[in-house]
Amino acid sequence: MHSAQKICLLLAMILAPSFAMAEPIATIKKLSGEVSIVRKNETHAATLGDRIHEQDSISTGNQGSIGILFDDDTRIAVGPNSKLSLADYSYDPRNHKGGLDLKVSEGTVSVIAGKVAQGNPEALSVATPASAITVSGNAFSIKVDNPTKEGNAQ
Amino acid sequence: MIRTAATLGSALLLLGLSGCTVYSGAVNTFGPDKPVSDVAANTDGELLLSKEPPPFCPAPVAAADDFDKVDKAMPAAPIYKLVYFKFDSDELTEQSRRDAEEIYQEVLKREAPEVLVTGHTDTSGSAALNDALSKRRAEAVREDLIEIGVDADTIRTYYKGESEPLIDTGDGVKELRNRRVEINVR
Repeated sequence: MHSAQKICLLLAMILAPSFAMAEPIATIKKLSGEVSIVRKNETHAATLGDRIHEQDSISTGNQGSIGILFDDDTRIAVGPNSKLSLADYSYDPRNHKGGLDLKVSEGTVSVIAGKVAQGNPEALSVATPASAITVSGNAFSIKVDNPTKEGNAQ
Repeated sequence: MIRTAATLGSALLLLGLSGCTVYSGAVNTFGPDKPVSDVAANTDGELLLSKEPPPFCPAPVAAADDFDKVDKAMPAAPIYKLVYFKFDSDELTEQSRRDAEEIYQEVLKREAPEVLVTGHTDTSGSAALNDALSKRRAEAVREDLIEIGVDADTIRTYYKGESEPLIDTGDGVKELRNRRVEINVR
């Protein structure tokens, strides 16, 4: 094998996992007001119908809200003044196995579990600044206040 | 959401019963009808009841209207429907033609719809012919969707031939329920 080929192979091996982690996993189905998506340190405005990738962060403005549908049929809705990150997502359509980890740093989020939660009640987990929750129900809503903001001072 | 509302309702009821509300003559069904203590008549100084909620009462976690905007942003649930085909044909049965029209209308109602179309056949005929037939069935549904105005870029078609029968019949069997296309609207 030529050394150039070796380098290519090596690069492919190093880069492949990082590409795999940024796979599209969900679609924006509802959108209103100001909503931005942060992907690999770049911020852009959310567009209806666009795909959301694993590890994307979502933030909504004063009047912003967004609804997204994951490939396993899990649905989440995000209210105004919210920030969350889709830290981890996996889904195998053949056996419906996988899981979703949400990190909500502030705001309001509702979740309706999809196929990943059918066989595994621990497939959905939500982390907030205060706690990590493993969700066993089919649907839930949470509200996270940001303690560093004015009006929420300790 | 219904459960959240129920929990909130019972929490509010509990707060009301336990006195965990700011004093209000209008809602105070157990105590005196005005915020003045009976002890006041026997003391020199002025005596007023606190208008603050008692310190041991929990602060409300979230008001119901915090989730109004969230609920409106929840995407509609995906639909999974099967439509059936005539033998050795990419033509829908009469009933399935009507069902398909209803599903197509549902696609048009949705914001940013995506449609996943998967074709299947029964086990009658060769596997190769059935692969081609299941592809034609999926394509037929795709053509219908494009014709009524669904964006072609949002439709994905798959075909499985006779490899994933709904009813396990063994090879070489005509079975209506296996001659199908699954339409997934999302």
